[in-house]
Amino acid sequence: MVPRAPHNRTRRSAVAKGDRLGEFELIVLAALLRLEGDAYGMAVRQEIEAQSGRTVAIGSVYKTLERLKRKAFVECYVGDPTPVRGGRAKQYFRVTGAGRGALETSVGTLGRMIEGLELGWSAT
Amino acid sequence: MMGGPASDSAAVSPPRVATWLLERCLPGPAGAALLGDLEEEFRTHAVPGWGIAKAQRWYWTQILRSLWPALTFHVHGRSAGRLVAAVLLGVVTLFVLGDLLMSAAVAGLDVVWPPAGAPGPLSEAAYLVGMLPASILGGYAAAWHGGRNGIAAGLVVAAITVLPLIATVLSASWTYVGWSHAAWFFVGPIGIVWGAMRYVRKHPVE
Repeated sequence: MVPRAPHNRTRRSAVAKGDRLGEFELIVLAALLRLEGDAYGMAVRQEIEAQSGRTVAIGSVYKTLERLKRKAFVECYVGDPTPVRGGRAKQYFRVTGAGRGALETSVGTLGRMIEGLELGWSAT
Repeated sequence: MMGGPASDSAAVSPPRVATWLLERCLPGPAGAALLGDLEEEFRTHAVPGWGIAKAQRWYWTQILRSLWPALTFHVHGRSAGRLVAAVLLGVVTLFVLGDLLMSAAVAGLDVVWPPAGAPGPLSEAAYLVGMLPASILGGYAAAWHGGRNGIAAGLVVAAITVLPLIATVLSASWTYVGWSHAAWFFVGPIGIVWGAMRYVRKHPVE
C-alpha cells in the first residue's frame, strides 16, 4: 500500500495549466541550470546527449527553448557573431525565477508521485 | 582527406543545400542562431573528430531532424488557428483563382472544357494556364496570412492539393484530363511552396 501524501490544494493550484513542464522542457531547463552562464543551443544539446545518452536534434532544443521563453521560464540575449559560426550571432539562454519555480514544482510532483513505490530500482 | 580527420577544419564548410533548406524553413534570428550553432559544432567538433564525410552526414541528419521543429517553431495556441486559416485561404485562392483563370483561358483559346474525348493541346494548355499561376498565388496567399508560419502553411496547402490529384490518378477521370494534370501533379505543389517562400523572403517577420 502506497502511503498517501496529505491533500494539498494550494500546491496543486499554484501552477497554471500553461505553466506545466513537459518532459523535454524539464530536461532543457535542467541542462540550462547545469551549464550556468554559458548556455546556448549547441551546449544545451551536448549536455542533454552527455547526461541522457539520447541523440537530440538541435531544432528540437531551439523549439523547446522558444516555448520556455514564451512561458517566461527562460530569457535570452544575443552575443556577437563569429567567423566559426558563419558570421551568425549566438543566442544565450538563462533560467528565470519563474523557470526555477516551475522546475522545482515539476520535480517535486514527480518525487511525491514515485515516493514509496516499490520500483525495484533507484531514481538516482 | 575525405573520411579522415581534417587538419584545417575551419576551411571546411557544411553542406550548403542542407543549410539553405533550414534557412527557408526557419528564417529570422532563431534560424540564424540554430544554423550558427550547427556550423560551429561542425567545424570545431564534427570535422576534427570524425572527418569530413561523417561530419557532413551528421550535419545532414541534424538538419533533417530539425526540419519539423523548424516548420512548427512558431505554432502555438492562437497561432495554430491562424495557421489553419492561412491553409484554408491558400486552398480557396488556389482553386477559385485556378477555376477563373482556366475559364478565361478556355474562352480565349476557344476550347470546350471538360473535353468530350481526349483533350487536345489547347485544352491541356488551358488547364495549365489556369492552375500554374493559381498554385503560386495560393502559396503566396497562405504565406501572407500565415505570418511566421508562412512556409508551413504553404507546405500544408501543397500536401492538400496532392490528395485530389492522387484520387484523380486512381479514378477513371485520369484518362480524360491528360498530361496537363500529370504535369501539375509535380509542378503544382512546387509552385505553391515556391510562392510561399517568395512571400516570406520578401516580407520577413522578425
